[in-house]
Formats: sequence, structure tokens, C-alpha cells
Amino acid sequence: MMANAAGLLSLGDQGYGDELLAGLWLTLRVAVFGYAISIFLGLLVGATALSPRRIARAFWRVYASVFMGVPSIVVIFILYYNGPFLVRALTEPFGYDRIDVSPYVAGIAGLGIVYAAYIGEVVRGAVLNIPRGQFEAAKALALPRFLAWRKVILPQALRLALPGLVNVWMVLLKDVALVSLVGLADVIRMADIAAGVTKQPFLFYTAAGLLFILIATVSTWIAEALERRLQRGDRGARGH
Amino acid sequence: MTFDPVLAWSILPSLLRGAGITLGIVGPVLVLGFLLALPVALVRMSRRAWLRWLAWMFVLFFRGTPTLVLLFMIYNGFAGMPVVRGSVLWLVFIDPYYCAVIAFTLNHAAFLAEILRGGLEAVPKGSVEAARALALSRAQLLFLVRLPLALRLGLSAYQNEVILLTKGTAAVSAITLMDILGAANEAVAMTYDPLTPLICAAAVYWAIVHLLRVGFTRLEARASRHLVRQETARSPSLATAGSVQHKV
Repeated sequence: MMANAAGLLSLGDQGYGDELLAGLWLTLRVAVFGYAISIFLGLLVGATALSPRRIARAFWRVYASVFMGVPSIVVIFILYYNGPFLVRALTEPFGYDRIDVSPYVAGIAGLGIVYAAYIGEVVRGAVLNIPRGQFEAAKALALPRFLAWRKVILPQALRLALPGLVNVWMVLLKDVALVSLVGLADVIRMADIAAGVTKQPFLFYTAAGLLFILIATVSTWIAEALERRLQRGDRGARGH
Repeated sequence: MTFDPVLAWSILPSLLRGAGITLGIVGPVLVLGFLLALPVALVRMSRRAWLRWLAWMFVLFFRGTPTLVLLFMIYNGFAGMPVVRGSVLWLVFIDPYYCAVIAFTLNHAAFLAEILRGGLEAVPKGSVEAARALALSRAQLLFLVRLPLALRLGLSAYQNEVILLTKGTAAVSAITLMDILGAANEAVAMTYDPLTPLICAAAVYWAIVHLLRVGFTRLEARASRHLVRQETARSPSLATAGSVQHKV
């Protein structure tokens, strides 16, 4: 039984190990690109949340409520089915009219849009927890607004936001599994195929689950190292 | 690709049936998940290292594995095992509903165990000592003092987890259950309308999550009414400290 399992999971023609790893690579890419988009959009969402303009805050409230209230897989399905129409409407004036939206693109876009709402919340919480004096100090130094944010506020906000950002990554990572429902050839899909051929579903799904845990564990290590690095300026500077 | 109100109205009954299945999974999972999470949380704080390690493995595995994988593992994996096939258990694992409840219970219990542990560890030492001084038994100490305090401390984390769980059940359509997403996808296949059924499904999910949020806000106001009173009695620091911790 054990030798059999090792054979089935081995790399190469005999086993499905290499197929699983190829699927894992795709899962990771969707997760990383989706996360990158969610950080970018999330900063914008966070900015609207903190804006003094009422209309911007109203936009933030609607965005957060919608995308925190709807499962990401529903958003991904909507993008996957309707993406071609959307893309065609955008590109037709330029002469392209045959563009398909792959599960890959729909997954990245869907996760990016949904998790931007959560990132926005993290950003908002972090900026609100920066002492007022920091804003005032930046102003007193006559820093232009952009520089004040880039050099004073955001570096400190990052330290406060890190645990929240890591949290969002962990949740997003597991949501990539759902993208296999629109046909992404990710690690779950590969486990599915291997399970069907070998009649060993339990073995392959467990292997897929353990691969997710492996990524999560490695992520935790990286996050801890990052946290230590970001804390280095904070040593001994406590007590304000 | 436009929203079709007539179609939306006609598929509403099947979506609401789907909502019944979604809630029919969430309800039992909340109860069973709590019953499982409490012992796991207590074992996580055990004095014996190997017991702590065991509970940690449970949490690590069921928290880290995507629920879709758990669903496939249980629904496709167990039902195919010769040991299971020959026993009564087969009747359980052949039914996607039971499999969904089992999978989400394990996942929810792992998250909840960590929330409970966090809450139990944050219970002030003085409260525990006071309860000991009153000669409460260990069970009384747990159920009358530590657990109620822990539940209040963990309430906002619990709210987040319940909402994630509710949205997470959308994965059960992968094992043939006709939940909200399942019903919507069926309507997509039958009507060739790629937008309307899914927008309706999104609206139903949103409504459920919104009701959960409203309910939890009420519960939180009730659970922390003593803090509000202190606020009016010119001691706002405690109340705000509590509410800051609750947000995000």
C-alpha cells in the first residue's frame, strides 16, 4: 500500500507527482497574481474609505458590502461566463472581437476584485491606527502629500497591516481551489484526473490538501521573517 | 448580456430552495462544529505536549485544506474505500448532503477551536482566581466563567468565520448539491442566460450575509452592554478599547 502510494505520487511517466506539481504551479500563479491585483485595487479601495469626500466613502461602503457578502466563486462564475461579452464590448472599436476569457484570467480577476474589499479594510484599519502626530509632523515638514504618504504614512501602515495582509493571503490561497470549478487545470483538477484514472481518490485529494498546507506553512515563515524585518526600526522606540 | 427581470422572477423559487439547502448545511455545521471545537480547544491547551500536538495537527490540517478538497476527499474518497463500502457508513458517505455537513463541520471546528482558545487564554486571571476562591468545580469554572467570557471576546472573530463558512458552502455544488450556486448554474445551463441567474444568486448570498451581520451586531451590543454603561459613566477608555478590538 505504502509503496504503491509512493509509486502513484512519483515524478515521471509512472506517477502523477509531476502533474500535481504542474497544477500546483498554476494554483500558485493564480494566487500570486490575484493577490497582486487585490493589493493594488485594495489600496484604491482603502483610499476611498479614508477619503474626506462623502461620495468616495459611499462607493467604499457599497464595494465592501457587495464583495464581502458574495462568495468569490459566484463572482468568478459571473466573470467567466460574461467576460467574453465584456471584453468584446471593450475591444470591438479596436477591431478585436474574438477574445475568450480563460478560467485563468477569470480566476485572477475575480479573486483580485473580491479580496480588494478585504485589503481595503486592512489598509483602512492600519492607517486609522497611525498616531495623528505623524500626519501633523509630515505637514510640519512641508512634505508634499504624495511624499508624506510614501515616506511617512504607508511605511508605518505596512507594519500595522502585515498581519491582516497575511490573513487575506491565506484565505485567498484556499479560494484558488474553487477556480477549478470553472475548469482551471490547477492542483485539484490534476488530483481529480489522477483519482479517476487510478481509482485512488482519497490518496490524491489528501496529497492536494497537504500541498496547500505546505504553501500555507511556507507563507507563514516568510511572513514571520518579513515581520521581523519591518519591526527592526521599532526596537527601543516604544513608549510614545 | 443584460439583466432579465422576468427570468429573475421565474427562477426565484429554485434559488430560494437552494438557499434552504445552503442554510440546511450551515445550521447543523454551526452546532456540530461548536461541539467538536470545544474539546479541540481544551486539548490545545492541555498540559501534555503530545495532546497539544495532536490538537494542533487537527487544526493545521482542517484549517489549511480548502473545503473543496475536503468535500472531494470525503465524498469521492471515503465512499470508494472497500472498508466503508461493506458497512453502514456507506449510506452516510454516498449522500452528498451528509458529506458536505461532515466536511464543513471539520473545517469550521478547526477555525472555531482557535477562536475559542484565543478567547479562553484572554480571560483575565483574576476572574479565574475569583471563581476558584468561590470553590467552583472545574466544570462550573469552565461553563459559568471562562467560556462565557471567551465567547464574548471571540465574538467578532466568530462572526467573520460564520460569514466565511456561509459563503464557503458555495463549493458544495461541486458534489451535486443544488444549493444557491447549484440552482443558479442549472438555470444558466437551461436558459443560456449567463448573467441573470448568477446575479440573483449573488443577491441571495448577499441578503443572507447581511442578515447575519445585522444579527451579530445586535448580539455584540447585547454582549457588551456593561461596557456601554461604563462609557456613559465617564469611563470611555474601556468601551473604546473593546470596540477597537472588535472591528476589522
